Amino acid sequence: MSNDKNAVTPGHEVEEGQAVLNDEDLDADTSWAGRYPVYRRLIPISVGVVCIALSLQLPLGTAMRPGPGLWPLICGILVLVAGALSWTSPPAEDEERMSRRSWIIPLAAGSVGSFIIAMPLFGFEIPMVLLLAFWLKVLGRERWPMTAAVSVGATMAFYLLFVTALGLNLPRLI
Amino acid sequence: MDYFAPIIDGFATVLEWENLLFCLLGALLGMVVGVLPGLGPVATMSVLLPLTYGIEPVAAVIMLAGIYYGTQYGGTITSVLLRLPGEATSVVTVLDGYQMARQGRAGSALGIAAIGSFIGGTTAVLGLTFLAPLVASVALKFGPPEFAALALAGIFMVAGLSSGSPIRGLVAAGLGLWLATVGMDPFSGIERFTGGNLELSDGIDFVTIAMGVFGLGEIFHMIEQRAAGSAIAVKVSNVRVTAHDWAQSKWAILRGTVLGFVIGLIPGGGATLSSLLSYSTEKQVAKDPSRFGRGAIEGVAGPETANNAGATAAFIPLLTLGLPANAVLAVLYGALLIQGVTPGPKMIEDHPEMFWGVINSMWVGNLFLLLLALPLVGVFVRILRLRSSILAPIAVAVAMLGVYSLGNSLFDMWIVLAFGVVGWLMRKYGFEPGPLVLAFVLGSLLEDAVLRSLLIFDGDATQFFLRPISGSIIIVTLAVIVLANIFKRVQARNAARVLTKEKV
Repeated sequence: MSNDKNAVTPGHEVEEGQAVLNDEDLDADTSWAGRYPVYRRLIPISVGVVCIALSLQLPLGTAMRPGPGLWPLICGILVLVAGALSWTSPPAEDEERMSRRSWIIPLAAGSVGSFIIAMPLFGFEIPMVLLLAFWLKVLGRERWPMTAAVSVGATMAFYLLFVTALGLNLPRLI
Repeated sequence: MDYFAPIIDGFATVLEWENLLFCLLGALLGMVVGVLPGLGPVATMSVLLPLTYGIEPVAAVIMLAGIYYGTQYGGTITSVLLRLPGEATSVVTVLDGYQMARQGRAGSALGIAAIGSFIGGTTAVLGLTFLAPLVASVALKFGPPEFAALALAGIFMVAGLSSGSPIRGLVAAGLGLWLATVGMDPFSGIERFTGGNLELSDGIDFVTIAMGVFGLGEIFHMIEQRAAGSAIAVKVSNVRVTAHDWAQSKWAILRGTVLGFVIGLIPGGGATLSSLLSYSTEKQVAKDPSRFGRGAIEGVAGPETANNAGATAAFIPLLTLGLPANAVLAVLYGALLIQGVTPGPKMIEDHPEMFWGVINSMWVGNLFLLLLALPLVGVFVRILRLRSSILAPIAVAVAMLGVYSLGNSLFDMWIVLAFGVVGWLMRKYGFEPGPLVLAFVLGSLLEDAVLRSLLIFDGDATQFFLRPISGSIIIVTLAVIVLANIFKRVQARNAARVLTKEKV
């Protein structure tokens, strides 16, 4: 994803003749130049360390009589070694910075989590309408008529599909 | 050997109306999904996996396979009309397809792509029909070391040939392998990494990890991008192919078929590499290479044929060796496992109706695609207007309800959510989710094969290289990865040159 304002992201209006791919898109690397945070390089290494540490808590056995911890340890070592080798790699083509927009994701995840908590308590219908409305209005910035129509309509459609047609056992009010 | 009987039986399976219906449904769904920017075929297949539980096993797999090659064509539509490749395999189509559209020849581009896809796919199925039993019979002689080498080869190739850097692919693969160990160890009976949680003692369910990393992860990534409605910059009249178009394209289609089939057999290669190679081949053999990038119909016919042939050929390693060659096939692999079928050399013996049913459904599927594609382009164009702000919440809802319906388990929903966040983070930090899920799927089989091999070798791991078959598999894998990465770098430089010249 380019930081260029004129670059077109999927779904945007395309004008006749407007270039979808700009030069900057091909040089996505340089947006990181000199500012690639160290913590990103540490991520794969730390994941490897965690895997290894957890694996060491299990009996390893020997190559002739492998224990339950041996194979996980090998996997953890693979992650660590690959992570260490990637220390000097340039940023990936589609690697992206965290921006203020990124805060939308914890919000979105939190809304789904709330749905999971609410579903057994209130049935799936009402939490589903609320979840859809949240995503449509708050995250998607749709207008109220569209929000109401889709959240209620989709929930009804899900009821018809999952409960009536497929006969699945969802917690529900009705 | 009674060679043709099972093939004919397979046709009987496919022509059962229920399977035909699901094939059609899958192809249609696949095209719609391929057309929508945002959710890719992998995400859609993952999200729909729970719904396949209630359907007959053969029908379920046929439908998922239909989605797979349906999305190839959907991606073509957005490449030609919007200059936005809907799928990775349609990236090359943008180069000439969009130019054709701007010249008022969108109908020809879409038409020749449909016809080429049909020819490529159907020919590949023919090859598949004859080649698959052959490979399966050879593979029956494989022992644990060979399977270990093959599984490792598959994982390394996918990690090495994915669009990201091979090293990062390996990080993802390693994590996937490790995650596969969570749960009770079958050898010793000891619980690994479950933290006492009962739900985890059977391990992390493949479906939940796929739905999370591929489905929810892609949805989270999608909503983070600011997206409004799509607008078509180019009008589409009819999808029509003239005799002149055909005359220009027929050799490109022939070359694309052969190329696509051969490349598709290599794990990690498949459809994307086939289309890239086809484009550069066409450019090199053309009498006037300067036409390329300006609306040369061979630049659409060749790659589109190749990617369909490649996508079909990639089924051979899956069905005969039990090796999923890419993320999409990993999901299909998981779907087969759910239905109690283990893909591999035994599959053709133990479950011939499934084996031949899936293969023969491809004949029908390709036919459906051709019949659907030509008249329905206008409808698809209208679907493109669906905004991601509406698509995303619906997809999330389907995923959440779907996963609950698997086992009435709230825990599964939490897993999907957690891995959705993981999948999003992976994309942000530049790690491909594909190798992780692929490695996860193969993880327990690989561990089994490796540990059994160590037992056979009395703990001497160097024997992997000394046995002829496993040793040569390892060498070939390394060679393919090195060569393909060199080739990719050359291609990227060429493509960059073409695109910067074409800054219209």
